[in-house]
Amino acid sequence: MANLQMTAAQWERLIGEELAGGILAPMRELEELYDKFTRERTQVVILNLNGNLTALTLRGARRGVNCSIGYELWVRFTANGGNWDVEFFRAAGAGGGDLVASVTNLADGGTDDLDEENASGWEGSLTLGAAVVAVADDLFKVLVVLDYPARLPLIWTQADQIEQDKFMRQRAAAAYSAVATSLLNGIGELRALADFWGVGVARDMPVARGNAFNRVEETVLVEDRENEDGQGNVVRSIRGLLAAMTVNMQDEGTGGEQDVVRRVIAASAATFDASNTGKGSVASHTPLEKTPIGRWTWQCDDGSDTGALGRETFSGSFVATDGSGITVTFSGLQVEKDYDGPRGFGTIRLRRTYAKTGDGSNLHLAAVTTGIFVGENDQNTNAGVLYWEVQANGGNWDYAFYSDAGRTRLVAQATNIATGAAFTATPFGTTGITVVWTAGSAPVDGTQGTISCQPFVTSRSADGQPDRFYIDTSLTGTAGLIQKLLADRFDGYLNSDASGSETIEDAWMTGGTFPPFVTADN
Amino acid sequence: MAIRLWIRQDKTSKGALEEPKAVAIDATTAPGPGELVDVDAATPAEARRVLKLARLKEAPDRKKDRETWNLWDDARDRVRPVARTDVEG
Repeated sequence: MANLQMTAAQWERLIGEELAGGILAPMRELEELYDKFTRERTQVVILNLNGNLTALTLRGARRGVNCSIGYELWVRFTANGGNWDVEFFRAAGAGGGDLVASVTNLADGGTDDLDEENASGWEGSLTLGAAVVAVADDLFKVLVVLDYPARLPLIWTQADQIEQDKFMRQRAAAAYSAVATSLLNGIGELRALADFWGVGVARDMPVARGNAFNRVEETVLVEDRENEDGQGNVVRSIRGLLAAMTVNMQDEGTGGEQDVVRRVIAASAATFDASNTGKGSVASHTPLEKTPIGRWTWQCDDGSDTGALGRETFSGSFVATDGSGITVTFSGLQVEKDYDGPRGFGTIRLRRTYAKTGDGSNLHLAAVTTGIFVGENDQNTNAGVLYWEVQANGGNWDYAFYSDAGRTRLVAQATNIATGAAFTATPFGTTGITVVWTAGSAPVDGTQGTISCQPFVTSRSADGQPDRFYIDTSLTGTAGLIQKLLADRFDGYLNSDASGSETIEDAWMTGGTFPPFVTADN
Repeated sequence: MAIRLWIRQDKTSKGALEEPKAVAIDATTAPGPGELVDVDAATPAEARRVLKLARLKEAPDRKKDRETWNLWDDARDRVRPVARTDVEG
């Protein structure tokens, strides 16, 4: 709880002018240029402010063929009853021979795929604005921006039987890569500038700007440290200037709460391989705003087949699917323990899925839930299986759990349990296993069955591969661009709010740089 | 000291109302529709707690829970309406 009692103007100068405008803006510009020399995107700029198109994706650009030499398209919007026809032309004047793509009879706000015209080769889709206006002149233009690697096969095509084309494609690709590498040096310089601004010192500057404003003495912008609590739970502590600044932004009482535009990430429930031996679940969750977008893959590296029943552990890797290029590896997720992952992922918990036999209607024992076993291992179960028996005790019931099918090795028991009542079967002797369950709706004396925790293995019976599961992180809505850059390149984030309610606009970072693409990538 | 809160009407991605947000102490508008109130508190977090107490749907039972009633009564004195922000900013 800080409340620095700074005005909104003071915060805007710090985060807007200085961080976003002086450091993140050039960094973002170099990131975009790096992508331009390494990727194969087709990006789009709309040169009109009437809002007729809110989304436009294009594939198949060929300058001089399906767009102008300057990669331009002219777009017309014509009323069709209460809907709209949209036509794309490769030249001004809307000549019939210049029609290259169209959408017919689409309502305001609607989305549709483009129809190719005159064998132009265009593919794509568009979404109309909420209140489209007719355009019957050449004042609605679209610029197509093709990344340089995507241009190579279109320039040196060998279609004209020019022998040097193959060599030019190879040499140009190498040159583009060299340019991209040099851009990384520039990005590194700006990262160092960010560190100096936030936490650096100089001979006559004993306190950095960021530290001074926030009245802290941090040594790094971001620190994200993993700690294991001795019980198998993995927790993380996030420190550094950005963390301190986030709290100060929240607690500002004079200028009001300060925030950038949000970047909301959703993490799916886990998907498990069908051929897994072990069974479990991981619920969906909302990770931190700095979490990257992509697939988190987990595989068992210490299982019941390697003597770790009860504490099976997983390691994993993450690969980004949004073009950010982020990859991460991690380990230490233990079954039925909390896990905080790197880069803001988590908290998740891998829950067991139990399987019961001998009681299909849940008369003797309640339906299986989570958390039935506590303290299970190789000695007090039979590869994760317990053998249960219910016995009458006056008007109530005794529940006994054995680790062998012959029911000679009692490991846990609960006595005098009422019908339908919850119980905890405590360890018998020093077995160490507890069973937390509920009596069934109509137990019958002498009934027997099994309960298995279906433990995870490093070599599953189907194919010898480790048990595996996946979680996908995805973006909800659109991302604040300052928040996105901080997440991708700094593993950090600031206090945030919904677009329109932020106090530090993305425009501090995007203004005066490259024109805004319809779909913001950087 | 006073903290000026914007009681918002927009919702989070999960459908819940956004928490009241501290705005500039001299603000007369907000980024969206809602209400501006001043709360006597040291920090925005404290101001939100006081506001929540002051705006309970039912008054605490003064006889059964005198302590909570006192806190509620005090909270009501610490919250002062400023303006409505019915026009989106």
